[in-house]
Amino acid sequence: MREISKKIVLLGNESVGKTSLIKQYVHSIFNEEYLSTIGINISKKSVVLGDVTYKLLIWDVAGDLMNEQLYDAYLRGTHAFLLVFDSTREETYHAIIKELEVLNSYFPEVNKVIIGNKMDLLEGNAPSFDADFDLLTSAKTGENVEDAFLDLAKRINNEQG
Amino acid sequence: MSKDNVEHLLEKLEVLVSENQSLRLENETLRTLVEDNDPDSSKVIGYNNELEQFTYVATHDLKTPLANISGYLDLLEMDLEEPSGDVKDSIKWLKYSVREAMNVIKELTSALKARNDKDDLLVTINMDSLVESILSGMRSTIKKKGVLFICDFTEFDNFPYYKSALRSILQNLISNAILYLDPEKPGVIKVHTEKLDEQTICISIEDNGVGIDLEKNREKLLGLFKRVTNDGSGSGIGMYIINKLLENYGGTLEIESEVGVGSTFKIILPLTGTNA
Repeated sequence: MREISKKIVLLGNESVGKTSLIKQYVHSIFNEEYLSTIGINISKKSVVLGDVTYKLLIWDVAGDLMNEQLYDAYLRGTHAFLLVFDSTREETYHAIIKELEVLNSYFPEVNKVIIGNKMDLLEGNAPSFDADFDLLTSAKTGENVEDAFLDLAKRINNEQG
Repeated sequence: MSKDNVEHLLEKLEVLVSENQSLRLENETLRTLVEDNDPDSSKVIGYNNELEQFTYVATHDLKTPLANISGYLDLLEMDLEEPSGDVKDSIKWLKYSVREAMNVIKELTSALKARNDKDDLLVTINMDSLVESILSGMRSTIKKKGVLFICDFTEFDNFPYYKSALRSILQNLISNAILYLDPEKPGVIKVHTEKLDEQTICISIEDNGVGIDLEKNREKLLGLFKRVTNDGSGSGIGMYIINKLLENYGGTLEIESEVGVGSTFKIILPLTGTNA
């Protein structure tokens, strides 16, 4: 079986739940206490698709770090972006849409998946504002978290041919 | 400010200075005894114990008057309605000096603790949460200095070691890395782990700071109250603490550095986690 490493980067405003999503996905844990991320933390998880094991190196980038200098220096070589917004806070959605535009100019070929986190806090089954996204997740309950990362891995796998 | 407090502090300082001189003499005697391989090692132990006792008492007794001065300075500052620029400056510098003195006492106490520290419990360390908690404690400094931390423990995250000791070692190395960043360029500090072989792991703290001339300063680096810079930054205690803890709990420290490029401090730990 082949093993291939892939770099996945999570971006989004502060306190949208990027770290919680990673902790839920990698360690199956959720912590109610909020501690904003300092800098960049890298985690890993392996996903098997067909005869390939993808070693996902997941970069958790602090919400206050999003800037173009960072893209140039550290985000080169990214294979997929997971853009996270808080499905209960409209401004966080607009922030990642703005970010998406910048990312598209820097990394036009790289996969980007938009997810709305904190779906457990929604009153209905969709955000109360207009939003175009790929998936809703809950880092708290774990709902769709595995699927979000799997979706990314599949997109990468399809590109590999 | 209470005159008594200042007088009390000055008295203590005078005692400290004079005791410090006798300490130095005793230290010299100690060194001679060790060098001559004197069979009367109980003398050496006795001197050592006395030295420690003295430092404990000195640090403890200095804390209270310093805390009082600090409190009175706060009161003084509140009471003065329109102080002149000079008075304001004086209060500011007095407060700074008190804070510095308190820091020295705190670090001296830590150094003493590190010398004898052998009772930490062997537990499973999770690097991710340990470093997260250390960095959280330094959050305001990190923000103020605009340091970018990159933490990568994907190669090795959980291993057995002594948590309080490792926390202290990492805390000191990370503080140093922040302290000696180059103000002329954006600071980047990388903390990562790697497995060297079946028995050994390495934790690296890599910075792009001012760097150290190791040829000139290697000896100075691990000594007590030894500084490699003359700019007054750092107390010269941190590296001593790290060295003592690694001696006590098992492990070594390797340093790579280049002036103007940065430094990498590598903590090499045995995977068995047994005491040295």
